Amino acid sequence: MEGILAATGVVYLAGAVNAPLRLARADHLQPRLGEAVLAMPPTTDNDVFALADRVHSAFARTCGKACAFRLALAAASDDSAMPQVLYDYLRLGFSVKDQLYGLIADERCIALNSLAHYSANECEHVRQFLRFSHLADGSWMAQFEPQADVIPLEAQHFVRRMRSERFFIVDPVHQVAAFHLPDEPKAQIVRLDDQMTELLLDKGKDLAKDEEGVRELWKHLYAALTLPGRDASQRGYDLRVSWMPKRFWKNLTELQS
Amino acid sequence: MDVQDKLDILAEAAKYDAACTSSGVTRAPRRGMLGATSAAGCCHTFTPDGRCITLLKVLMSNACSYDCAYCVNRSSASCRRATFTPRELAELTVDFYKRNYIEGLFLSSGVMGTPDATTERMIQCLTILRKELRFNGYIHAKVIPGTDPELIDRLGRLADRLSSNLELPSSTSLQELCPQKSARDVLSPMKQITQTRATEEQLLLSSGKDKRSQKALARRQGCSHAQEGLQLRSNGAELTLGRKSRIASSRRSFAPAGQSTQLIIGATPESDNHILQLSHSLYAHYDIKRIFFSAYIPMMEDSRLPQTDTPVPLRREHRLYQADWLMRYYAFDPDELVTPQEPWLDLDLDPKLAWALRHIDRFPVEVMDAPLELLLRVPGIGPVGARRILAARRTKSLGFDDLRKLNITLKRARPFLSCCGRRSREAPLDAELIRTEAVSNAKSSKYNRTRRQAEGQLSLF
Repeated sequence: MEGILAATGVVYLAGAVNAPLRLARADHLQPRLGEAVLAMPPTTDNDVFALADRVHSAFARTCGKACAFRLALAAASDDSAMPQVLYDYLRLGFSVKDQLYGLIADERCIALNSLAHYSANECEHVRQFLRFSHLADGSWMAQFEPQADVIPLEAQHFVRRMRSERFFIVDPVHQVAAFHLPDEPKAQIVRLDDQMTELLLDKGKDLAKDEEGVRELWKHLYAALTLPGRDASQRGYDLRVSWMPKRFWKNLTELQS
Repeated sequence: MDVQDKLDILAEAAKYDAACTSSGVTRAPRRGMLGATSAAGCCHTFTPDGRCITLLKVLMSNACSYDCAYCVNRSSASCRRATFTPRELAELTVDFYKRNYIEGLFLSSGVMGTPDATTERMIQCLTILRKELRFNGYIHAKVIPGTDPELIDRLGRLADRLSSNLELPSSTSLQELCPQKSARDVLSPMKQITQTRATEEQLLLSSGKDKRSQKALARRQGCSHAQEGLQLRSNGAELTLGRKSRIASSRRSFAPAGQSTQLIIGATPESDNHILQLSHSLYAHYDIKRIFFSAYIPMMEDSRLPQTDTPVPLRREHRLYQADWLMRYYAFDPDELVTPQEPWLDLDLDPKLAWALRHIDRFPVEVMDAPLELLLRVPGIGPVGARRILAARRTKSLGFDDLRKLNITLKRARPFLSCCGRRSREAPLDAELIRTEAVSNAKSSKYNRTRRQAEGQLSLF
């Protein structure tokens, strides 16, 4: 999101607001004939970050916190069209100001809301299907693979649940981790490289003595709660898959053999 | 017997209780305590039959001294019996909670001797959980019929939601199948919970304290329907059209998430009309948050119950849930859905469409100026969709394409709508045509084909 915000700021400062341009992620970019490509500096650059922050603050002030939050949700999306959708939304927002929130039928708002809605659904999946394991050193670890970069958005939910515990959550797909120390008010978000990701995932193998026992209890409970006469053979379709996408099943304790 | 054996027995014994929510109360994390709650709740997993698991749902004990004919735990049943110690259950709850398996505990019990003795044991467990293990998450506790009011009060101050299961829809059926329970035993706790909550609401309102949260609640409730339509996600409970509490749940100390109840469908001959009239009355007089319908699974040989080869009435349960939703979210009256002359819901058509076809003269509804209540009557438009229409039409004249982009189910809604005075040519407003198409689609759907095979041609229950 910082890169998109900074790019929007650069366009504004260059006076090129009305120029025909589009934003894309470097790994998704396919330049058209005659198109010039400008690459933004990395967002670790302090100047880039400062510009992004300035654009974000101005947007939140102009259009409201709800729109700013929606922008952040949409920015978490893995959709290749996300940069352009965000850019169009930002431009629209600076144009219509506090009217932006009410433009629910505008094409640009529909596009952004669609991405934000998808990310919000992934956030809900994190809350539902993330599973912690108790490690030998007393801390808690979870691995989760959402289809949007939502761990930074949802880390605080787990801080609320487990304020007095030390835990970390690893998303190996987006290479990001959230770390929390006991009684700290917030979790720290860290972007990882391949080596660090592997290291953190390996830590999950050093389980506490009680962990296997509790996992078995949970599996037993899950098996005991099934009601006869209501499964897929009686419904014609598998209702469980509708609510619990199969892509999460590999990390769910209750569905592991 | 170890904890695993007890869990196998007591979870199996509790699974017939359909209550499955962890919603209704928002409680912030507190220093030194474990957990928090959110009004929307959270489903952590789903069983193979598609039901949500959000709480550790167990009985304290299945050693029941009552002999209710439909119950697998009845005193005359030959099954393995087990009883948790209060501490075992409390520690198990915390272990599961920390791993994000659950949002909290759902605690019920067979009657261990007397209702009061059972409730005291449950209170002991919840006290360990709340006070010693400092658990701040969600607790749903069952009220045992016949329990002393003082114990119910203590239970309500430890739990977020209470429920007293009616189970059977009439006192006649209750008398026949549950000789040790009376209608009074079941209804008195419900009345006490309602009155205690109402009294607390009055006290908190008149105290004038915590004006900030009061103003925040008033702001949320004063939010117009159109503004609700602009939200990205909504808490379903806030979209109900009934009376809402004037006090934030976080301020309540007694059963902040309210009460619910359960009705068994298909074990006794009451009609859908009877059940829906009863449900309506419960919502109106007892401030019930949810009524759960549990399709009877015939497992017992008993002349008072359906035979064991009777199929589980899943479609009827589904239609009753749809009708219940129509009463709570769409402001339907039960008389609009069923009548004494036609006391059964149509198994092939959902109740809302059936109503729309009976009242075809009320359509088409003009999208640009219909009030919320009328939009909600259109098949294919739900509480969220209706509010989105209200929000969107403030800034734009809406066409059918716009409705599609707002995620309205146009396939169902199209015949019943007009947009800026224009109707859809592909979907004529012809009741017979719509009915034929709907019934044909329903019959050919995988769900209905499977259910017809399972249920055969006769489905009285």
